[in-house]
Amino acid sequence: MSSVPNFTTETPPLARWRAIAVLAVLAIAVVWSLLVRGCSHDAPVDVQTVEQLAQQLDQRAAGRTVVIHPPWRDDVASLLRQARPKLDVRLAAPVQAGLPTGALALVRVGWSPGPGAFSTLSPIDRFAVADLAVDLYGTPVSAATGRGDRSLLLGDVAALQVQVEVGGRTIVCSDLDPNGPTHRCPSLPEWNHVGPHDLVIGGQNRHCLWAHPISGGRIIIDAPWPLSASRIRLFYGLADSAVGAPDGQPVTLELFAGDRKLGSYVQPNQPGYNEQLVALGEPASEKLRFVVSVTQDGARHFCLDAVAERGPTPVAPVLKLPQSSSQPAASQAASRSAP
Amino acid sequence: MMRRLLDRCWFWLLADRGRMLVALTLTLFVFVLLTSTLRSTGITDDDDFYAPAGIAYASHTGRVLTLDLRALTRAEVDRAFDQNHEHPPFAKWVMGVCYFLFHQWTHLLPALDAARMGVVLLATALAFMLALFAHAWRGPLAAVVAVVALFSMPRFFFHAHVATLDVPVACLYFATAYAFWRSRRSARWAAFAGVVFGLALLTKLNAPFALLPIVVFALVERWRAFARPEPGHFALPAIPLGLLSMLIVGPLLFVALWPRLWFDTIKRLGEYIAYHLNHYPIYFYYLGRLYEQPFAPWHAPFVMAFVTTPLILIAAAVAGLFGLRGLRDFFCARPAAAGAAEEGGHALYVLLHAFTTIGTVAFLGSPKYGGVKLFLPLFPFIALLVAAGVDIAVDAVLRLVPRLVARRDLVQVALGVLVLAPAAAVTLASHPFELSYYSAGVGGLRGATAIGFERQYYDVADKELAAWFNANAPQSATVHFEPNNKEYLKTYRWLARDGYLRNDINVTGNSSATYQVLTHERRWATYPDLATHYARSAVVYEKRIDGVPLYSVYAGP
Repeated sequence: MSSVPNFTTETPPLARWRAIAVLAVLAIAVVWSLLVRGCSHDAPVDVQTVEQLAQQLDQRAAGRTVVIHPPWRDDVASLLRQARPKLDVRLAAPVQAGLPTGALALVRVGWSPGPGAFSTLSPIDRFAVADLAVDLYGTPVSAATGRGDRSLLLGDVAALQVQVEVGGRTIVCSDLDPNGPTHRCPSLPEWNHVGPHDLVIGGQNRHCLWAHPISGGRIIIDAPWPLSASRIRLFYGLADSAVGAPDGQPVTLELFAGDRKLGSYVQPNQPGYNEQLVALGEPASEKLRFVVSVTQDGARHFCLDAVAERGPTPVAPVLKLPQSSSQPAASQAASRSAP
Repeated sequence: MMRRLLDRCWFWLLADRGRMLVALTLTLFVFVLLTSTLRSTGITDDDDFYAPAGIAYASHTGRVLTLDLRALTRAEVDRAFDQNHEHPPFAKWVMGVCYFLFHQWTHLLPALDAARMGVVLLATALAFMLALFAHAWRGPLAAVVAVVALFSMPRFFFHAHVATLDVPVACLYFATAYAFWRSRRSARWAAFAGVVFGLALLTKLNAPFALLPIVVFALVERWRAFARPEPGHFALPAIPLGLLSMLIVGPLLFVALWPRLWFDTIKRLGEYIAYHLNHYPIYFYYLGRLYEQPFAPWHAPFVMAFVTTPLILIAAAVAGLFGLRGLRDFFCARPAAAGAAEEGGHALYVLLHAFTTIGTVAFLGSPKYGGVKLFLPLFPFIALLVAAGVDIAVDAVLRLVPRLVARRDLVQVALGVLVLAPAAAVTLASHPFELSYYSAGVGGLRGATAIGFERQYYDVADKELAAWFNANAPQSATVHFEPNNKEYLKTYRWLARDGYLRNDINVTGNSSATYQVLTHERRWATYPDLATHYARSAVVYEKRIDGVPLYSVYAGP
């Protein structure tokens, strides 16, 4: 060794404490490693535990979609599907605007690596079946908010009717992608499709409906089911990666209920996921139409979503999306021109 | 008798030539370890970029060596070196030479494994230099601990097998650091430092950052030379010869040995720098959030290094920090404490390099992705800190239990085994899925998955899966991978070419293939929908680690 101290003499207290600290660090690492190995509360669930969970769900969530949160506990989802083949079990996307919230039972799976594994809880206590005590952003949602049933766009993408008007032609985008519910438009560029995407908008992951407009054209998206709501909560924005595009043109989103134009919203070349509450007055029963257009395309990665809501319109917004530090200004910048 | 034999061995180890013996023994150990685990290591998407490029470079060299002077024309140079020209050629060239050595001429190894031997050899060379440096710093135990610790880091161990540039640049970066260290007392090493730095520049972009800690170290070592000799004068310390050599020889070698730069030198250099200044973003899933652009936060490299290195090694490295000695003697250049100052110099040098190798990725606004691959040069320096930690722990035990002083050898062996055995065991146990290794600090792969780390990356074409297809797939079966099929189209061709996969099995872009494979990689935006889509399909084969699925195979469509 490089130096061999004379250990037979009295050692200074500092050196002694340093020696203790060095050995303590090593000891903690060894003990921690031993504790974690095989003892973690995160252990994959076993069939018996999931059967207990399924029985809880039979009582509390019959007929509803079950969302597993956090979304990466696919071991729970997988075994739950095996236990109840008819149960609709989904993994929650980390941020997913407009999931069919009211129809959900949320199963939150706890985790605690390390010595927390020595909890006295039984395995089933890892799960908390809740009637959506928190929404998928982790934001508390009280029952009084009247948050609606389902996303108007993402709930059944395949059933949407999509067409593009460009150069005097109307192209029906009925080519559904076999890998997923995406509407592709024959003879138009691949990016000119309409379908669910995960994009980073305003610094956050957003699950929304991709609708990249084409120069001088209009994407028309019809939700073919009758609307039964008293207001629409509209979400829209440009992907953060597209906002930096030089000369990026503003994208216009128009919303119609039947023949009525409900609003026109302009998304400038700025970041942010915008939220607009569109009051319908009386509960409307018309079908909704969304029209997306731009004068000049080029990295216009536009995405939108809409949720129908019932009940009286609140004075203040009922749901605040988590905002990145730059987002509030961007949201304000998004201009709205009411009809 | 036994005692005398031990004494003799000890004397041999402590003698100067013993240093070489220890280093060579460790090198041989690493070489055998890596070659014996080479064939079981899966194929990354990078293998298909770098191995073919390396073969093209080496072929070109062969033409030059056989005096085919047409090979020196611009058209021929560009034809060979335009492949993967966004990275310099040295490591790829080594892979290409190994391809000819171990496959084309001798048929010792399958084609891709032969190319990957280039990386194995560079990793082995790294082990040699690491052993020499550690031995000089803290003795033979440190040499053993440093080398074994480095190859007991699962991520580093994995990368030491695959045709990527990250272990090669770790090797050349360390070689540069080592050569400069030796150059402080040797003009020959000073000249060598320039050559090694040139080769490092020719390997990957991490290399030029080696200058930062070297310059800082040289300034700290010579700060007294700034003192004014007389009022009104200001003296600059002499530039170390090694540094001078690096600054002159390095860039010259960089241009001279990268044939693509022989033509349009300024323009192509500009393209090279511009490419890396504007590197396209790559998905990175970190703490439950997907990063593309803006890139992941500064702390991501530190957290990734912490969670993917065995906890006991991290603890030993921290212990090493506790006990670093001689820093003050080094700063103050106390002649009376030359030994301590030298030890302090070693410590400072290691710390500066450790911080630079990870700090450049963390703080310079560069993309962060691929776990720890972008800062692999960090890990040899971590291994040195581990070695220091074990050495310091030995001293600590002897300080607290003085009666063990006479049994120092025993304490050394016991602590070495205590630190290295668990790390080595988990590394070997995780092979060939080291990219899915997470330490006990986050509860292993299960905890890491729950917290929101990616459970694998690199689109690895796993050879266990290929073996399953060989045994179970019907004749002319097709396979489709999700979410990122395009990489497997290429890597599965290598598997078939090298005999790991039946020739009648093909990867197809058609999603109605005989088998659908879903790799559970959450950085892909399509993954949640795909997971839902496949949820009701029957799984016919699945790879799980600690219960966490890495990929699932479904009989399709």
